[in-house]
Amino acid sequence: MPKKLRAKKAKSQTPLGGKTIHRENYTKHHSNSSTNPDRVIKGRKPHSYRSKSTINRLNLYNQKPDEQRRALRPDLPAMIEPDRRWFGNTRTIKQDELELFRNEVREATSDPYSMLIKPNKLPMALISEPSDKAKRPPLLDVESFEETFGSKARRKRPKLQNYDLSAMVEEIKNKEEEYDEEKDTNIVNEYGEKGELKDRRLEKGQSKRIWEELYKVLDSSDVICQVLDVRDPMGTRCPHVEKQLKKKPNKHLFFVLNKCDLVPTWVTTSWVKHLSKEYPTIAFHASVTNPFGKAALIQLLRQFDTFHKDKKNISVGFIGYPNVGKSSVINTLRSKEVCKVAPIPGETKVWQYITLTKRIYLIDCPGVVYDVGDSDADLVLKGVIRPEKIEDPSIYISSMLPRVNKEHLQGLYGVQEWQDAEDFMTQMAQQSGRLLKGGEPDLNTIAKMLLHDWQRGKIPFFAEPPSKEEAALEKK
Amino acid sequence: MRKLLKAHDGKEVNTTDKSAVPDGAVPGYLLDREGSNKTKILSNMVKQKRKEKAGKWAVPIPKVKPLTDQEMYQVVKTGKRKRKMWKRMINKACFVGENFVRKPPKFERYIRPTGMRFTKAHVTHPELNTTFYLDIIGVKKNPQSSLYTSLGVITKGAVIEVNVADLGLVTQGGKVVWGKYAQVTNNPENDGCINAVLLV
Repeated sequence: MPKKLRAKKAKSQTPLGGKTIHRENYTKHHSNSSTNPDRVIKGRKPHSYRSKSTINRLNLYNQKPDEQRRALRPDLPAMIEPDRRWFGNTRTIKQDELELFRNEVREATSDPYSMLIKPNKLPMALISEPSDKAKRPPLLDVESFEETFGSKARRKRPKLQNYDLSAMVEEIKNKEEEYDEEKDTNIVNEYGEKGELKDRRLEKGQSKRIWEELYKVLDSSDVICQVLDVRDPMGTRCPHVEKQLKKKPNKHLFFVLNKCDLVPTWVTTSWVKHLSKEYPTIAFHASVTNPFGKAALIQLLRQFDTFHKDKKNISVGFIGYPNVGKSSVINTLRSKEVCKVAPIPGETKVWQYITLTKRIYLIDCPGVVYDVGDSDADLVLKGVIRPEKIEDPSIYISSMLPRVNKEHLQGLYGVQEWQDAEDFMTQMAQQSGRLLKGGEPDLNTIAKMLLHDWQRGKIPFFAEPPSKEEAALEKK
Repeated sequence: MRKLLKAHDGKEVNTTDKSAVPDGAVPGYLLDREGSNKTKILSNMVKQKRKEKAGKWAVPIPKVKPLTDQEMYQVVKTGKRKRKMWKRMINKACFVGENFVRKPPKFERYIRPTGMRFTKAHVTHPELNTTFYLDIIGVKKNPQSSLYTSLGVITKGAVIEVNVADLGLVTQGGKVVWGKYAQVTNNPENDGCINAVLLV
């Protein structure tokens, strides 16, 4: 390298704030030490050992900032030199080109299998046609030029919701009719607390810490994989996150229906068919030794990878409800135990990066629950909380039993006939000998056992797929 | 060579005694000339003109107080024992592109928090005295440092490119203008919004 160029390059590389390395008298070191970025190992191909950039990066990890230098204020003020170019136009477009863009964007947006890669580099405000909702009345009708500019300007006038009395009365009436005292969470109850008294343990997966973790994952991933439990896909979806992601068209979302082995095949296929209309969906069975759908998932990730060829690597974030098997899916992809997994909710605590290939990173995320007004029983049966931490587990059995086929219960527990949940549990307790003092059945232990079996998939159940109704609609 | 130089140093040189001549003295053959120096006037004029020209193309805020690195970012301690200190958290408002995705942690040196990311700016048109809420296209120049320009850090005095499609500007040739520069006039990190003046 010519000396002139070398000096210039060294100058532009100096990091701000870090220790500056003056490399004007820069000489190549010939040592073979693993921290020497210039090392050349004879007899080995250059890619068989650490590259220069990797060594530089590893050296960077050990650098310490120079606090004195960081506190130093430069003597000269920060300047922007006068230049004609600041005042010119940076981006212009011809009318006919605009027309061309408009047609192409219209085509691209109507096609679900194509997307705009860099809408920011286009005058989208000129190209896109406003949707009916976004269409506002023409600005000049609302605020005419005379009223806005000049001596008669009235811009300071506040905008009100209604400008006449009758409209206001109407609105108040409507609001009064809509008000429901039961839904008002601001009323203070006799304990001096706002809202319903709710068991804090049922708010698992809703803490600020876990949501922060989720947002980090969403921010760092190009592709987002929402893992759903095939037994109850609609219940384990997170509509809030899906809505957020629609605003960011560059992030791709797809679904993985996990735990396929726990339901009949027809259920899986109909759910895949139904969910594929919204997002690409893959049926999956997470298992290191005997997986299902692994090839399809890797193929899909490869496709996303080729789509992002301009990037050095892509990150795939795995999000979803607690205990749907996000970490298991990652372990299956790696065929190795890289994330800690357990059949209990809340095993993953913080986000974790896993390298699938050199170009694909996987991000594991703790399970997140979005409060959509689920009842306590729903939360428990979705497997948000560990059964041993539930205070009074027997009350949830009554909502569990109707979801299961009677034959399965008969086969599993040997109880033939029962009237209600309590009767069922009493019979179970008597059969298994779980009795308290005086021959009282130990309902709580039995309920915990049942919930355990439910969460681990021992009790077969599934939410009815919507295919039947849809098929009927399509026929019509 | 050294010898030669020494020999030259030793030479006696005739020098005129400058203090003997009074200030402003002119030799006899120049007495009929005018007192003022035309070249000087000319050069002054050129200088003046240059200054005017520079003033014409000067941005509204040409100088800002330089920021120290401590004000710009904080050092994030990482690693199991919190001994690594190579990560930086930018404390100022930032613009990241629409397709921005954070890098994997081991490659990410500069963290730009989501709360400090901005996509829109309140841009005042100086001649219309009207303010528009426009999309930011990019950060053209941050006077503090070129590094901050490349990171998209927006501080007071930074020149940003904004999407002026809503303003309906047209060039003389009939093209539609949709990108223009604007200069930031407030401290976005304190105010929570970006105010800027359109450069026209």
